[in-house]
Amino acid sequence: MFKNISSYIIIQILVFLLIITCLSSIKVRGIRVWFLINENVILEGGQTKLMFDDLENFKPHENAIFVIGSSHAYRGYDPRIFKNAGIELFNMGTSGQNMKDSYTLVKTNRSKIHNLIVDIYPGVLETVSEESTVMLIQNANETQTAFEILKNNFTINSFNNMAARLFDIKPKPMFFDEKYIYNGYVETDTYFKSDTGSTYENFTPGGNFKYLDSILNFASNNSIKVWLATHPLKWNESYKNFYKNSYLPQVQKILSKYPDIDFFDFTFSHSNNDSLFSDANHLNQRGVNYYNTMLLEKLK
Amino acid sequence: MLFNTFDFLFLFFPLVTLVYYLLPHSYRWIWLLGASVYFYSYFIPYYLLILVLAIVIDYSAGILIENSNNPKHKKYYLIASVVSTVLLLFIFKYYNFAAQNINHLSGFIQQDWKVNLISIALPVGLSFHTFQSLSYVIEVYWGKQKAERHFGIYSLYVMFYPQLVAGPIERPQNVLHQFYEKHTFYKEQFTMGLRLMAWGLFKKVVIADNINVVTNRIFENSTHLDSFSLYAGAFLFSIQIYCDFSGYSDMAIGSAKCMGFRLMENFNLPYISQSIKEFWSRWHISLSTWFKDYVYLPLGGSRLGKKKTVLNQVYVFLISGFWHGANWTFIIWGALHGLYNSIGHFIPKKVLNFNFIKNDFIKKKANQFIVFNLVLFAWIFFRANSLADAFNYIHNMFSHISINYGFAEIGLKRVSVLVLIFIAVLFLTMDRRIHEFIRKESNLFSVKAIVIFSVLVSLIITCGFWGKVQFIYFQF
Repeated sequence: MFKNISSYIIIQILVFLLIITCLSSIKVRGIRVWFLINENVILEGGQTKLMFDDLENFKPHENAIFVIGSSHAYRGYDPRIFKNAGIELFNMGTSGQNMKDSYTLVKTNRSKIHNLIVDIYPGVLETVSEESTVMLIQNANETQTAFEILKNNFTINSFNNMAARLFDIKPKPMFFDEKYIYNGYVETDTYFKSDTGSTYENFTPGGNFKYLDSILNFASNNSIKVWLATHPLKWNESYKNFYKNSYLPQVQKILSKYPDIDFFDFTFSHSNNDSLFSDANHLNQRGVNYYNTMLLEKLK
Repeated sequence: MLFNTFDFLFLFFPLVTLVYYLLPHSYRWIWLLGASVYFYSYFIPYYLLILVLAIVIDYSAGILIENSNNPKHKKYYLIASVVSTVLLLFIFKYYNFAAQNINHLSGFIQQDWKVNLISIALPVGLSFHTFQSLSYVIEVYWGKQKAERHFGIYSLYVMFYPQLVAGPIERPQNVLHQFYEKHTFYKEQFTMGLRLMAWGLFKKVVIADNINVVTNRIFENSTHLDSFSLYAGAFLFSIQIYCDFSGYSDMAIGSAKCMGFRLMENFNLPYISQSIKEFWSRWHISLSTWFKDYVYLPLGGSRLGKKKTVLNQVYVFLISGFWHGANWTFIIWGALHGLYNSIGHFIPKKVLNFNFIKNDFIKKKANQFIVFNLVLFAWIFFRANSLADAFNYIHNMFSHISINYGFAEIGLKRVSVLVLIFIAVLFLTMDRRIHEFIRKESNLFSVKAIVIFSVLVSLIITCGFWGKVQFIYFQF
């Protein structure tokens, strides 16, 4: 029986490696077949790739500020506006970035980070999605960072993306049709068209709160100055009720452990002005100008 | 709990199976019942109450029917049980549909019959376990099954976790006695169960769920697509629904087999059928035979002449369509199958069997092709969100005649769709061989078995869509 199981395991490993090799090397019209079959195995490239390229060359001063978070972060903090105010800013936000991945990014870039803005909003604190994990694994400049992210958020999809990364001999970055500026920032010039407001009604605090706590704890142990921030969001009365009654108490519970940390919450800092938004969830450049100016006032 | 999740595959299933064999026989039913309750409460715990209510009603009805010597009383108990079970189904599944249609009708004939809708979600698998429950009461009434006196065992008959949420819809004669049997661990049986589970999981996460991404976009954007792309969408959905549902059934049968239970086969290569009648003897067998035994035959079956036979079949298909969902799309889907079947009665056998074709192979393939495409056409109604969407899809499929591959316009990679179509065709050609191999009792450690199992496991890991996609039939 033991011999049978051993031979099964050996054959299973060999077959597995053979299949990964085939999926990674067989191409149809220049694209590896793995990417064509499985949507959860993603191509390297996009904003995340460009952000990591810039990060490698970024030599921050003591007063440089790093931002972590989801698309709210990489579309909401413009390094040009901060530069005009004499502050270097680097945006490490990536699409759907969960706090678990943010925590790994902060840890792996510890030597560069002295000041940190953690961009939060209900959506990013509710679920631990895999979207950012697979993107970071495919794009991290250091394989060690990719392994670190995989270790902290091990799922079958993240494992597959790590395997695809390791088997990828000649990466071909995917096409990116948005306006990447530099230091991780993406500019959005479109305008929101209809007034739907936000749709959150129930909030289930998931594992992300634990990792928000870990980030704040890590920062406090490593003398990193931290601020929490939320940019203006489209809102309606039901969202306002939910935000104040269900979501905010959870954030305040964590913050009560860190009295030195300020939370700059600009969610309702506007009268639902559509011209600030590209969609119900994201600021456009006009909104970023408005928000960053207010934020800089607070940071001073 | 979903079969295609880490929690089920690596925690629930191994633990339940291991403890089942370790426990003394007299405690096993308690363990299985507890595990089934936990499995079901993973969805919405509150819906357990509805399940318990259905169990109490039909358990009591069974005993009352058996205890009564008066045929009239027996009939009353049966009617009471059937009505209350169907009422449960009506409230949760059909009430809003009925209310919406009454409201539409009242608007149409300018009357003021406003029926309020209720905000209620359909408990997972309600149609499946109510039908299994009904099957028990009817069999007891017919005297073909003794009433089960053990409430725990009866509850387990309805709640047995492998087939609780999407069948197979079992008969009491096949399952109830198995809960009293002492199952010992047989290596061959266990490995066959594992093979079935791997094959089912492969069909679900590798084929159905990857196709799901494509079919969702095609069906939601049919206006922008050409006839080839729309046909491709319907073709892919035909493969998706087969892999999704038969994948679930194989996992259900396989996980039960690992503990020594024998559940009925639910699918037997339906797309090789050469007639619609044959298709229904191969597709969702447990439901088809349920309707045959408890609706079609009691209505008179085929004993009352051709006209009545055709009418009976149309009734059964209409009810079957309605069973699937409270939407006109499902009713039309059922009606279409009823129509296909009826037409078959009026076309001369010579024409229907392609007797003018001499070559048997070509004859067989021509039949399979026609049956497959008739079924594919009906699936468009099954998949569409509304009748208007279905008609729009069909209209575009026959009017936008070109091969533009407009997939890019709806966010799909053309080459990705073509690769998936290739995989779907490859799957159809290999389905029979693997289906037969998997069900053959053989040593798990033969070279062929090891290689096939390793390939399946490797493809499940690397190509599976691990995004917790629900099984399509859970909604019924």
